[in-house]
Amino acid sequence: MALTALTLWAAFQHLGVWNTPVALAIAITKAALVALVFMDLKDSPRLTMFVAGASLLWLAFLVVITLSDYLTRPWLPIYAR
Amino acid sequence: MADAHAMAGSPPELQHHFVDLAAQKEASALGMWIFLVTEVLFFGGMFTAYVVYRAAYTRAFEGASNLLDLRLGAFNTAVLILSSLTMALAVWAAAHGKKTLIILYLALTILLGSTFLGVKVVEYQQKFAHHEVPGPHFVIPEGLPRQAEMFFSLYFCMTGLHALHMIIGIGLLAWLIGKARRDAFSVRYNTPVEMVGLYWHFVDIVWIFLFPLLYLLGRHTL
Repeated sequence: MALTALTLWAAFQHLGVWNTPVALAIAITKAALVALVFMDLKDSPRLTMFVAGASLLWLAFLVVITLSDYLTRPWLPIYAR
Repeated sequence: MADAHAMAGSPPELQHHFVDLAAQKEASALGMWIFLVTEVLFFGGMFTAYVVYRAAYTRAFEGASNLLDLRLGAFNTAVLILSSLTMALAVWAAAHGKKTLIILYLALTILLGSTFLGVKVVEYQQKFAHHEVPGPHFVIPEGLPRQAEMFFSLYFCMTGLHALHMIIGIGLLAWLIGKARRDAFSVRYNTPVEMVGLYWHFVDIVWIFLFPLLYLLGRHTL
């Protein structure tokens, strides 16, 4: 709850390029709290933690590999918009 | 060995292929987590699409994001986090075999979940009234690039898929209440409550990311 208030406040600040990273950092903190406390991940068997961690790994593959395409296209003269 | 469970003393909830209830519960939890990993990637595809288009059309996305109702979105965030708390309390009540409390907390969770969906209905209605729903009746908001429509497409896909998960979750909660009333849960066996709990918290986590990404991304430009 406190973190929700914090993220609302942060969104209206002029942080330049840092607005999104700050918002995401707060969201990740909240998600981690929910996973560790509500979903009881902190007292789960190692294997469960491993599986939960794997979701982050595959999500990272998905985002990073996709972006490595889209964000680098303008670098090539023939695709430059 | 295979008939070991058929012997007196083996709990009725135990499936024959598990050694004991603890092993059965661990297997259920692991299976649920694996399912949630597939869900992460299901939503992850949409988040990736969002990131790609936002990077390409930043101004349109920021402008369109500011057209969303921040107060309703923030209210819904609070409601959903609260519902995660009541869900966690229901799991706690189930672990301690408190039947009345299980039903009370599950009912509260349903109430909060329905509140969330009710607010969502109001929000969607506003979007229709303001011609901000992508399609033939979409009107490009004043002063914004036409890619604002793209933002609203993603907004409806992501919140719509999230709302669908909420509706399924509420159905599961109602099913749990029915089971709890029939005394299906005890200190010894309450796995279904815990598994639906994991699902509900996951849906909460999705919203924790959707809220800043959809509602807050352009506020600093105001």
